[in-house]
Amino acid sequence: MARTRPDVMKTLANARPPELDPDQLAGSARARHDLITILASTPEAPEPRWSARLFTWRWALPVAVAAAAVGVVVALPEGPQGSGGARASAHPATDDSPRHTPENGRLALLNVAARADRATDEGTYWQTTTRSAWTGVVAPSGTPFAVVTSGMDQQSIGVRPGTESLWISGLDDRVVPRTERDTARWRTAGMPKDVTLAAKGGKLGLRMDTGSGKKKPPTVTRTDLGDRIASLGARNVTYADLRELPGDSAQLKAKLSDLYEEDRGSEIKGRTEWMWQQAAGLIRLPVKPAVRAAAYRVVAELPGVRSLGEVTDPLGRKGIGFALPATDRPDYGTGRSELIVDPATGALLADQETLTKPNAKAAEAGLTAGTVVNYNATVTAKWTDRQLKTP
Amino acid sequence: MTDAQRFRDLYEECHPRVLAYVSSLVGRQVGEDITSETFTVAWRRMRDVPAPPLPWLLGVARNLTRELRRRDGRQYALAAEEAQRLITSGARVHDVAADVTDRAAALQALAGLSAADRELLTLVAWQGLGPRQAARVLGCTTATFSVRLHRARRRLERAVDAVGLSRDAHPTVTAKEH
Repeated sequence: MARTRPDVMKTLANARPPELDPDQLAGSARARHDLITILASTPEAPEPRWSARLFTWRWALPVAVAAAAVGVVVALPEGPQGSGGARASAHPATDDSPRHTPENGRLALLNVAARADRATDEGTYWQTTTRSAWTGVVAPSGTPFAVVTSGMDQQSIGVRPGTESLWISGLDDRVVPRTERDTARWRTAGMPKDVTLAAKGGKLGLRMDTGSGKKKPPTVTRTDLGDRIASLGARNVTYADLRELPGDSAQLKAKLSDLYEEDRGSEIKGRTEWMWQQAAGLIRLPVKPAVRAAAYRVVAELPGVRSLGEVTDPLGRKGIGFALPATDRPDYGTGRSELIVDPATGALLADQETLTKPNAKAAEAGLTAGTVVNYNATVTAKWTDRQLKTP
Repeated sequence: MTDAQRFRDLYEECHPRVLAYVSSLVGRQVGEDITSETFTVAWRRMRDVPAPPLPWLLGVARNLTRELRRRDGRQYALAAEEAQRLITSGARVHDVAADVTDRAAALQALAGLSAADRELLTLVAWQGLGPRQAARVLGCTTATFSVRLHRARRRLERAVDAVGLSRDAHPTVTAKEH
């Protein structure tokens, strides 16, 4: 048939595959993660060493990257008394009390797993609301002080064909001194609007809330890539992939082990921490309840997992806590990753990072053993048929 | 405005475009890494970044890609194949609308051209660069670029025609026609 030849460059321009369309590539978790890592590296020290994990779970959304389901992070801004004190629980950070045995942790988690099996399971959108915060140490020339960056975000994962996945971040974002004492030190330093975090091998600038000035509006990011709605290890996966995950813990563990091998070189150090974070990430995704239960069982089998007994989560909710052994946290000293679970429903209330021993600078800024320096607390997680209203 | 703020703006504006460009050369996975490296360079040399920044960034990304090719030919070859697949996947359409088959033919034709031609054509068609900016990315003069683009475009047209002919001969291969 005779058609006039269209302009080949125009046709080509229109033919760009969606995978190569910048609009489709914007705002990935990997991109955010890289931004933080790059900014944290100084021109003199190009090796990015400051743990970009800081942000990972906050940004752990959906389609993304290894970085996605990864990364412990975020801290407690205000304790129930508004002190900013961020104590995970009444008990101290020492791990030697008799009930904190690994065996005990394992059994308690298996109990949780049994509960997690029963939740309901259907809808068009899996929606979660998360409050998170993290603490950073600012070291001006004077006395160091701690600032807390906190905020809320909503995530809506559309699981039916043609639905969109959205992530609304920056709801109620704040950057404020952690305690009264930190406020006083900030004042002494001249109330700088822009502060620089002391982080090993890098710098990260933060803009303090000064009470005046306009709030930045929330950011809405589309997080699906076609039918890829979530990430597992280094892979972006579809809802069908998520539904196919095994509800048997041995099989799930094998699957995660394969993903770990594939994802070596991600910023998560060590297999245990990786498995822990991936499993915790899975629990928050729209997987079958049996998979959630299996994920808890996988966590229960990790070496060194212990029970913390009853603890209070950053939002003041009672739950039972579990922890991995403490490890080095370059910006703070040593600390450990913790999960707080509602034993009645098996819901994952929060993941957090608690200091077990602050380094000199962190101690000078008032952080102590027991301070929660990062948290990510699930406010709600539910199935619904209605997409989020975007602000 | 501090360097960090300028960098954030630059990143927000240009990151998706650099990633799209690099992905068209080496696929998404390696593309992410090279994009990350590109912006690391930009951060280190924030004060050298010209306005508009995009051609400069694409030039850095292109150099890093070539460096990968020198350093690890095998990985590069695999990555380039991945990019090829990314491009041709768009050519496998099952839609009879004329403009859709035109687009599929254009992609199929593009995939059959040399890497150099592909690069030239996509800088213009997909990155939206003008001749001066594209020349800057490639490190040649605008005049040279225009000549090369003209030739590449001719080759693309011929390849599109060839694809069209083979489609008419074997209508079920890439597009259904009734």
